Amino acid sequence: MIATPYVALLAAALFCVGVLGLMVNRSALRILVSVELILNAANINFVAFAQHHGNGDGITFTLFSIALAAAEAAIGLAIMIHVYRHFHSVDVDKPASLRW
Amino acid sequence: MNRMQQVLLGTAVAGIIFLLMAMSIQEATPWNRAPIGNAESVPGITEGAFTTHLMAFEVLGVLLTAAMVGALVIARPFHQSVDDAVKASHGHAAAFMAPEASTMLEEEE
Repeated sequence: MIATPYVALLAAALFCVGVLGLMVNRSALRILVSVELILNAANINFVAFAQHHGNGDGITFTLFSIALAAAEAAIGLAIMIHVYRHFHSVDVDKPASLRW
Repeated sequence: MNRMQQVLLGTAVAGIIFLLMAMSIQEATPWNRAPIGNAESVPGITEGAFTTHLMAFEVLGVLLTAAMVGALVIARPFHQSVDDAVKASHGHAAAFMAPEASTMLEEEE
């Protein structure tokens, strides 16, 4: 079994890759993928510390978190489709106003 | 801010966050592992989901349904009512059907 600090380091690295993606990318699709990476880093931490403490609640929360991520991705993609229809681009700099 | 500056800034911020996290992980030693409880058995996990966290489980189901309906409504084309969207989806389905099936659908309409 992998020691918990290494798993925590992996989660930290995944989180940082997500943050990097958030800051660098301008495409809404890539930003959504970066947010998913950050969520998965949190999930890895949940599972690692659930095993570390011998308590299954963390894994249950991970299941909830995955379902929440699915809902978030569905709404995000729908918004992206709407933005594309309106602006013919998914660049986040294009929609400068919330007036539709 | 041009693209290069953006990449450099993002890399710097992500690197600093990673360093801070790695330092805090290193300082948190020793990592004494607790005896294995119900974290490594599927019955233990499902028992938690369906007993202690049952309300959260139910709320999550409602949330997923709401998200699905919301996504369909948001992704609907402009100036199209829900009825029109349903009719359009029928037409779209007919394109993928066998010719006799799509003819039957047109006769029904």
